[in-house]
Amino acid sequence: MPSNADYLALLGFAGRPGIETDELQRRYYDLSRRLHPDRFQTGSAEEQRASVRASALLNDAFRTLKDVESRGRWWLERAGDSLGRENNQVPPRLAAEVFEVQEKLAELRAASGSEREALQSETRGILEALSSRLGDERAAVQSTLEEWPDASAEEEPLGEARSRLKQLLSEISYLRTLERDVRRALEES
Amino acid sequence: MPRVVGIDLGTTNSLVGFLDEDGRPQIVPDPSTESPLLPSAVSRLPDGSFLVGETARRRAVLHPRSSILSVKRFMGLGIEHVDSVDRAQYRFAEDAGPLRILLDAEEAPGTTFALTPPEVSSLILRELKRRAEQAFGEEVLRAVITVPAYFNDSQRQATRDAGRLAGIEVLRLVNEPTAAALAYGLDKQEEALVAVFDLGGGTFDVSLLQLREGLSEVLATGGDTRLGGDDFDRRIVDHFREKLSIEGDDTETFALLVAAAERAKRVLTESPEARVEIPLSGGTRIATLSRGEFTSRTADLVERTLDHCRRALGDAGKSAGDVDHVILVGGATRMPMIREAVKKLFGREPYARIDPDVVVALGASVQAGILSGGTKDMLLLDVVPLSLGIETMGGVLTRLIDRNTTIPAAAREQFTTAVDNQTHVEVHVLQGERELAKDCRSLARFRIPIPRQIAGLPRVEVTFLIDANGILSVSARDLRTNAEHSIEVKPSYGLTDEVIERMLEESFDLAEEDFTARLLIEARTEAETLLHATERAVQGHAGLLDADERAAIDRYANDLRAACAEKDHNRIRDLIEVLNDAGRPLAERIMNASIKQALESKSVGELSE
Repeated sequence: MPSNADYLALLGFAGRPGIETDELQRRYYDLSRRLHPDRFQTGSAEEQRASVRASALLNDAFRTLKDVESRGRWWLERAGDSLGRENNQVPPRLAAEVFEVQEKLAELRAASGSEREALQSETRGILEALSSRLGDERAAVQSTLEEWPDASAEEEPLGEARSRLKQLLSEISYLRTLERDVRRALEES
Repeated sequence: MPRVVGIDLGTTNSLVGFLDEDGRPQIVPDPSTESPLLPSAVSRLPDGSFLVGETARRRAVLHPRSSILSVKRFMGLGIEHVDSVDRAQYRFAEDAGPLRILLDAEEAPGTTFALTPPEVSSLILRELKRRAEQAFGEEVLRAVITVPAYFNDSQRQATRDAGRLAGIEVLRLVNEPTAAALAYGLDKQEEALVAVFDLGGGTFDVSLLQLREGLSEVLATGGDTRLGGDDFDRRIVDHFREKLSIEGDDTETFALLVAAAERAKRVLTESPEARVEIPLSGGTRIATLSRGEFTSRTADLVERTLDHCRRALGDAGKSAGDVDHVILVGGATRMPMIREAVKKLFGREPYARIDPDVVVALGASVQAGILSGGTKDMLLLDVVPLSLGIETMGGVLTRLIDRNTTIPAAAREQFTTAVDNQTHVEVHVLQGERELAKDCRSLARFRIPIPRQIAGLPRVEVTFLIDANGILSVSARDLRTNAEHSIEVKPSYGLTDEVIERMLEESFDLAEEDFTARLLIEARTEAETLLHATERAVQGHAGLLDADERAAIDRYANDLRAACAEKDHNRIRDLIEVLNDAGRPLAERIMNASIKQALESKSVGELSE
């Protein structure tokens, strides 16, 4: 069981990261039926062991691919890239927005009485905006993966796709942290 | 394939069943009383033999110190997990390692007899085995046994060990809620989200299953190992004590009050008020309990079960309204306020068509049928109930496999050395959700052997593999030489193979030649299974082997057949290993061919769309 297994190839989507999750699930169930240890109960010990290993790999593949974010991260790593350590820095496109939100949270923490109530409802609005923003970003990851240039493409479009995917994923990761901060500030207020 | 039985090894009662010729699950009842239940009670007699079942439960009233009533609570635990409630009821050997319960040896007053929980459970399993063998008129050697979904690796290992001690090969451990869904045949549904609410005598368990086209997938599980019908009884006992001003705190008074509470509870499932007589030593007293009183006295207990349901829904990313079916399991779900509360939470009437005491055993029997090859179109996909990780620097738990990951599951981790010429790395495996290793449950420790080199140079990859039973195995590979290391895992609370062998030997009370005869029978049976499987694999996949490989397999198979005609069980075991090794490449190729075949049939389907 190789640690750098090609999950997409295992499920018959080699080189096509923009998969549709319904089709992914159908194939996963179909393969599970064929590989699961229950199918080899009357088989030899080696068949049983091989089936446990194959099923574990299949389950890992499905878990990684079914969520668009983890699929994107996995695909980025396969392309020889990763979010890396600089992931903690504020993505440039989000800088102004993040600043505004943090400002609002500071106000909320300091506020009291009717002012606090007003700020609370304003913060709830921010939370909603954040989650809809996250939804948009996830959709953008999916369409980036769907439009991924095929392996024979020039280096330039591939590089562009890669940096776009990386940007989206790091924005998502940052938005999630921000969302958690906002939620915590609301709970504590 | 000989018959496989399904067993519900319960805290209070145990059952055995099978799938009949028409594909219907059946429970094997007690031949004399016709009861489907075998009380999970064991009592030791002065002659050293054991009573199991109803007689043991009755004997326990007068001989509590030589009896055990709910051994399941102690499966896979160590002495440090035993609390004051347990100590009030049982005594334990205070040493490390696998927990041992102490029973009075009545033949020699003042002395005790120690038993591990798997040994106690094996006595119950043997009784069930005997029951099934009597009904079928043939030997029963294989079983599916159910376990609570939240059981950790040690608890699952302990259950499997109990099977081995009882002379049963445990083909599969199935999660109880999954078994319940199978019993209702819900797996035949197109697509549904099912909640299984299981309130037994001493434990509560809730699980969410996603069913789709014959596949059952556990999305989340939760529960409390210290919350059950007994807690409800105790609230009624408190109520009686207050109302009748009963002071007596002795075991006999308590037993009488508990019995009265159970009767009152049963009456309340039918009528709004219960009147029960309590034959206390000072004279018989009459106690009353209304449904309203019962409900208000136990509201917090009910609320705790609902909290676990909400948490499981949250873990699965679902809301109560998403649930399509609710199944009730466990005798305690007969209580009307439980049904009401469950109905209110999920907004639908829960299923209770099948007796909640037998539903899990029926499901186990269905799974037994699946594994013996009877049903081809069903498949269970279970999850690991607790995160699995290793202890790293500073006592922190590094998670390798997250809770609720579908099994089989694997994780790999690379290890290297911190100082020059280090010869091994110690690994401590734990299970749990907390950040610190000390707050999680220790599963096992092992050492990875490392070639002497300068610090940081060796690279050893360790694979943690959880099989379809939720049980862990570990293997290691040197990434520089590609050599596989065998790793001996020392379970923190389980029994080692040697200990089990010794227990088996002792338990048979047989002369040496009888034991050898048994080992020979077991080796021959295994050889026969392997020869059959090999023959089928070779014939079904002839194209996957070259001529040399084929010739080698044939030769080893012939050697094994010849050895089976002789009486040396060690030689049979050795040749089984040899034939297994020879079949390894074929097994891998069969999996790959399976994948290829699946994908090809898919692409044909896609083209024709």
